[in-house]
Amino acid sequence: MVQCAPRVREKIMARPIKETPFLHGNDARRFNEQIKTPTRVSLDEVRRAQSVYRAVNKHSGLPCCG
Amino acid sequence: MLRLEDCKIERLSGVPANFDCGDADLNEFLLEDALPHQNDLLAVTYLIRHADAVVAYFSVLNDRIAVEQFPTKSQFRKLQRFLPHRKRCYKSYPAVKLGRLAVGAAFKKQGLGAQLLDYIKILFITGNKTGCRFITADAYKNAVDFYARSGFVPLSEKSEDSQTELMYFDLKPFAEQLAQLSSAAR
Repeated sequence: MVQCAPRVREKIMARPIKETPFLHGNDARRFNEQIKTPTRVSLDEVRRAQSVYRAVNKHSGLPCCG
Repeated sequence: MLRLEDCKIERLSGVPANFDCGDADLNEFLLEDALPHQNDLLAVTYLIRHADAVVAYFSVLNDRIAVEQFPTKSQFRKLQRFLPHRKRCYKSYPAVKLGRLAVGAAFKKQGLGAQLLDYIKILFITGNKTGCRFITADAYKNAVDFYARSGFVPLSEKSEDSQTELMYFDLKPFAEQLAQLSSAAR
């Protein structure tokens, strides 16, 4: 779990952010296979995402690279 | 209908006056925990605003995916000479954890959450100052389909938590397509 400052611990009601566990056994085998043959992403999907990214950053005065 | 393109993004600098996404845990995190987490350098929260309203928010923190590696039999025999007791070998990949992501109740059902995930993917491909291969998320069970539609897959076959499921998104195929788009634009 992500550690919180002692002064805020008592106030916290939201669930802590869970840590990512080590993968082993079947989960590790499956993960290693999946990253060797990842699902292909379409150019249209990436183009749409890029267009949103640029527009939001432009409105926010942030760099629009990407 | 509101589009993410019409919104601004800003790093959290003070607690918003109000936010309601219909989920007490997600509201509580933004209104109580996000700023202390940020001040303690544990997680950074970004607000999505339209006019004065907080439309959505997300919090991100550093993460890693550590995976057991399986040597071939010959590699294992060589390793045994140096390792008297069999130890597991892990390979670690840098990742960013999506600690929280929420869309305000008044702005749901407009595709903003999916657009926000797309934004985060590009943010951590192009705007990241260190390496980052994966986005991880601890998804509520009722949000698993939402993440799956954006290409996230479960990390484990059996989830130990009844409320949430750990999922990940591989940024590499996305980054490769993005590089192809950039080179075509030149």
